[in-house]
Amino acid sequence: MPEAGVERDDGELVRLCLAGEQTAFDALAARHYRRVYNVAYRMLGNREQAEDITQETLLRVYSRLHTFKQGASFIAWVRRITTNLCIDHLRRRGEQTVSLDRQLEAGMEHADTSAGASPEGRLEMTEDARRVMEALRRLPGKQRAVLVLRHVEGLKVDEIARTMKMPQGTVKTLLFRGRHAVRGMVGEL
Amino acid sequence: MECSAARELLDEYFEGTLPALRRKDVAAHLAQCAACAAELEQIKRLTVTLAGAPRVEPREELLRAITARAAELPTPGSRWALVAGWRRVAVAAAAVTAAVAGVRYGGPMVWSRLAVALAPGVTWLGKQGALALAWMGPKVEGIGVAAGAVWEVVAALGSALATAWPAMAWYAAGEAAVVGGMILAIHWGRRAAGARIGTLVV
Repeated sequence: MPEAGVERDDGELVRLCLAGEQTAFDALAARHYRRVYNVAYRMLGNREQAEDITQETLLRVYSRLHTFKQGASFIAWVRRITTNLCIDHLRRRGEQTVSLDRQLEAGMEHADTSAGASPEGRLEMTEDARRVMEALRRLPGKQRAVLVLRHVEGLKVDEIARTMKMPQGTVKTLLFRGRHAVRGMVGEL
Repeated sequence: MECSAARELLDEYFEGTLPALRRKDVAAHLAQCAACAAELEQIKRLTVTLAGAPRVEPREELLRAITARAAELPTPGSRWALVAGWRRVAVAAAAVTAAVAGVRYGGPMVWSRLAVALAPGVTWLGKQGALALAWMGPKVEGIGVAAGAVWEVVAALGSALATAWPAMAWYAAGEAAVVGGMILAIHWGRRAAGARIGTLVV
């Protein structure tokens, strides 16, 4: 990947890319594809589908780069595209829920385990997280999406509302219902 | 503060984005409501738990596949890419123009020919009806005469309308098509141009 991508911010890379510098897009893709992939994986629960969505998202970003409003948040734009593609995908596949033990195992093989103080603590955290992630994937698409954006991506309510183009009240309702459903499935954390 | 109102604000309370006064109200409610306090605790625990969820690493080939495919696409914002977008607008505009022209100019021509062909027939039918009723008139004591007159009027109206209304109707349809075409052209134009107006397109 080009050295330029390490130092330049997203806005500058977008400008370079629009000027015809292909390496600028390579740098943008390298910077954001893991995040896109993780959001997609949390929402879809399937590595292959997450890869497809990641690819589709970044190619859409590339082909519509001239519509990106300079000065806006690039990652928010990318996240919105990712979320919309995931929701469309869930709708197409009929909101099916999946048993994820196998996929989760596959995911853990590649997991970044640098976070966490002790192996015991990490294991406990991972087990709780695993149960919650399993419960999340049993939720309807939009509930799942708002919970992932809220609790995995750390977005605020108003940011989720902008991302998903829905009123804040709707986001709060989806969060409330989603959390109740998760609590019903995994009990108190 | 009611529980329903407090729960509406719990996420923003947790985020720390509530205005001071509202924050104080929610804090006061939480101090005396175990159910809402438990709800807030759930938000905290869920956030902590999921923040600790390990991130999943995609395959290395994925990035290579993305950049390779992007390299095959036209440079975003380049003339070629814009042509790709505007080509859709051009096709849409051509279709709308053809439809409008067809309705506006082709329609009246067809209808005027039809009217020329049909008007004598309609008039003839009206007159035959009038004659038949006039003949029946004496037998049904005056009714036939009145009905015959009505038929005369119908025949005249039929003749006039046969030539006049198609032009009026097609004129109205043509105007509606022009307005509809303009709305569609604006809609497609905005989509193809990436809707720079307002917010970003996704």
